Amino acid sequence: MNQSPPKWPSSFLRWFCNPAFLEEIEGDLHEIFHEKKTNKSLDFARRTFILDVLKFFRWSNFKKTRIMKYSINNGLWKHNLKITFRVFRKNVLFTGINISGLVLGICAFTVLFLYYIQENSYDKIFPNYDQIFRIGVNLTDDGQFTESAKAAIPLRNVLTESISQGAEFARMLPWPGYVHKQVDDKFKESKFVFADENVFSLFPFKLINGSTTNTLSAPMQLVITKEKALRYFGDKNPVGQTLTYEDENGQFEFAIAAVIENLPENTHFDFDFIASFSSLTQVVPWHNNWFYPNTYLYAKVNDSDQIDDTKKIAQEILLQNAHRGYLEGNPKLIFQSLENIHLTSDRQGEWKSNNTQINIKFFLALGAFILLIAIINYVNLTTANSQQRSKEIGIKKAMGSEKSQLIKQFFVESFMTISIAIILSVILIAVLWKPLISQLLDGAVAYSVLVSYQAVLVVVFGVIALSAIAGTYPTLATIRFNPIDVMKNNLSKYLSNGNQRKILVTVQFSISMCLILFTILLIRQYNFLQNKNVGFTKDYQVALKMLDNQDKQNYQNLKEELRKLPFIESVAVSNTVIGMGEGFHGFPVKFPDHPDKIDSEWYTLGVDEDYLETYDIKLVSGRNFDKTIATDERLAFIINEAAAEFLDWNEEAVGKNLELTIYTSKADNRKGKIIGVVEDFNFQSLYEKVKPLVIYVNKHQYYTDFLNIKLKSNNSIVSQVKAIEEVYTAFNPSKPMELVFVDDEIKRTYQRELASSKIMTTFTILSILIAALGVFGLATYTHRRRAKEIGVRKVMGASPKHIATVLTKEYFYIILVSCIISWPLVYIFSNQWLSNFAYSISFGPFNYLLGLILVIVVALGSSLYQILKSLKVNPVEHLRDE
Amino acid sequence: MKGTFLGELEELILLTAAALNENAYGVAIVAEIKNTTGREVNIGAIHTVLRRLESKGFLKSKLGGATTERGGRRKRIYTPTHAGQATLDQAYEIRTSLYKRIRPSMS
Repeated sequence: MNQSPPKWPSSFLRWFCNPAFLEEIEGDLHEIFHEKKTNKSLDFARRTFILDVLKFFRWSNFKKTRIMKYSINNGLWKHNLKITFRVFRKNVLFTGINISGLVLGICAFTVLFLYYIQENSYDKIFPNYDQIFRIGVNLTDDGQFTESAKAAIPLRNVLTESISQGAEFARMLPWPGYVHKQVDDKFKESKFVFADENVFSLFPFKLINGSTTNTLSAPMQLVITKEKALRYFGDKNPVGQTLTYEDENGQFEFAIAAVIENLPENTHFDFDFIASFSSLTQVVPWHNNWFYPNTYLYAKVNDSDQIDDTKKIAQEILLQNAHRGYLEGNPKLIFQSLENIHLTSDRQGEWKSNNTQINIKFFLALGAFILLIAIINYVNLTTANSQQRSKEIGIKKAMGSEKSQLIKQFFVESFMTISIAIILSVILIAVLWKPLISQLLDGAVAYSVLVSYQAVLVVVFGVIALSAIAGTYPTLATIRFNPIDVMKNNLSKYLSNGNQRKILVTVQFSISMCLILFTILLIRQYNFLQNKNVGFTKDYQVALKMLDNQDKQNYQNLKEELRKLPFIESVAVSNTVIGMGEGFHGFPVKFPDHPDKIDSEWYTLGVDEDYLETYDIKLVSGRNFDKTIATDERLAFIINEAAAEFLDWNEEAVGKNLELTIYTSKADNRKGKIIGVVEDFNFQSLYEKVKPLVIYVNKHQYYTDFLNIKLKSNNSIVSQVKAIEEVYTAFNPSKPMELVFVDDEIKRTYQRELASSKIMTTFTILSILIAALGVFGLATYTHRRRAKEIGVRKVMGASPKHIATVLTKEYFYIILVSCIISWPLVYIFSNQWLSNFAYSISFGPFNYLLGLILVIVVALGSSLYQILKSLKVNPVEHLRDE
Repeated sequence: MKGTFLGELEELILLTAAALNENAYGVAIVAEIKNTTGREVNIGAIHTVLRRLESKGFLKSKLGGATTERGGRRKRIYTPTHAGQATLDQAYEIRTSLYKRIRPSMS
């Protein structure tokens, strides 16, 4: 048996230990080992040996590399630091411009980088997230191909029975309803889900109170989020209490088993209540049905390499077990890995709207470009300034300074500048976080990201990388002076013609131009979406939400009361509000009078007789619903032009038969006539063309969700809202009023455009500011360098106009070149982006000119001060010392 | 006195090294301290302190003989310098003179 100490600790010791101490330390270790081996046991001796080696792992025993020796002993570093600070002090203006430019650039980049990180972190909070997949389905349903994020409810049990090993399946079925603790205090809870008992083993949501192990195996158990616990129970512990859930099938009492933390921002889930799936046998007894609304289905596989097998098997199981009718739609299971959902998935029925890779990469690129502008500033200004240092370099070289020492010196300067800039940026970001940045990003990024250790690492790495990038060129440019030339004051051959500088400035201007143009594009398209004629009046429109069944049943009384208010023009009930984007339920329609068109599914809108008037929706032909005509209530439909076009009918659509099945608690099959055609109005977002829509009269409390109110004017809106609130409180004292402003709702549809244009505008202004700083710095430098030239010109009789031309000429060339570079890029990008919208602006040459003017204004504006200074100065002052 | 100040552990180790009389090296010092005071001292700490004492000039060292237990590696034997000896004497005197004040009869 091997009696010697273990090998690897010795190797480790030899690796880190200063060789001068090695023999002594190793000897001692062996001696201790030998002693322990004899007195105790071999194992014990070995363990002690490992521990003892670790005890020697301390600073004083380390090998001292060259860097360590330098950092401890070399006075040169002190010297370099001293020089650096002297240079800073001597050149406050340059240092200030350099640092503030870098600070702005670094801040911009950091914020956008954090946004990128945050968007990439979605759902990675769950352990084993790479083994979890969401199963959606591609299916042709009633002739319509859908890519659903959800799968049929029975599929899970079939899969669990067939694949018992290596995989686990859990469903989450959103099932909105009303929740109350006391009968008169109901809330509509749209984020109520039913989930299988193993959902917490797949997704261990953070527990606050109670227990989530096995809680969901029993029926009528409920887990709620902290926010909802606070809403219903205040400070009291809700665990063990009950909440009543109510939908059209009845009331059900749930026992609260646990409280979980509110869902973090970076998950694709969106719910507030999780009830046990087994409760559904009571709540929705017929739920286990292949044709019932689908459920989210998650699979966790033990080995993600075998996911392909699992996919294949699952598909086979589906084909073997599914209902025949279901299989006619040719269903195909789609597995999406959890981590990819947020950035790649855009299927039907997502939990919440997802982001795209393109979008976040665009913002990251934006950040990188702004940083690039800042770095270019730094490089340009430092290089331009290098002549001032020529004497210093020359003397140092003459005194025997090595090149490497000079390189070190200038890198220390870069390093210091950039360190200061980065520290200031971090402070600035931390200070501006609450008031500005989190608002800008809509709270998408948590503050904790900023103070995490990754952030610290990024900062440290950033300092080093930036110093390397930004420091190299200026350093090399500065140290190339030959001492003899310097002493002879013979610097002309080092004076570059500034080509490199011009190229860099051109890059800056090109980027700025692109950003300016993109911003104009975004803002104009956003305004266009806001102001486009959507076919109905959205100003002065508010909608009052009917909060409980009491409201929904007796809305007529409320409507009458509201009508009595002098400032209200009209009131109408509807099942959804335009701009909310949902609620236009797709219901099956049939066209008995049309020979070719088969049955279809159309968007629907349930309203009363006053609706068209309230929204000023214009009739193209036919008539509006009429209270006095009894049949209108069930047997009349109004369709939009898109629908008429779909049926190849125009005027003649009026009078034709149409069948519509409306699903309330039961299917309500209406065989009626089309009585009118309305002009197309954009009931969905302007991303899409107007789709066929059928409007029907609805008095069923299931769909009397909103009272739409048209105000006569927008004046004194506060007192008007107050008056409405008084009426509502008298009508339903138990609930606080919920009022939505229609144009706000519509704005919300374009939130992404708004958010993007906000971010773009902010960062474009930043980038312009940085570029302007750079131009200002360069102009200052030019002013100094060309002072004599200007003096001579003046003496020779040049007019101020001529001198101004001389000084600004090169900027015009630079701007011209940046136009040539940036315009084609913007052209391609803008066309591509605008093609996402069904309705978009045309981005004509006028916009390019506007961008050009802006860039010229920035360039001239920031160099104006120096130009004026050059013009004013007395030539004698500069020529005298010759 | 700055620079010649002795920490508690330093003094103990210096004293032990002197007491071991030409046979003071890492393991031996650990064992001796364990024997006389019952204190378990970390072997890594001993080496660091020994080296510090040497750089302060209280100890000098030379390489001694190798044994099989040491895997053929030589010991570094530490002996007090004159300065080290003097410091120990001085420390002893200070302590005894203070101690005499509380127990005059002990002298």
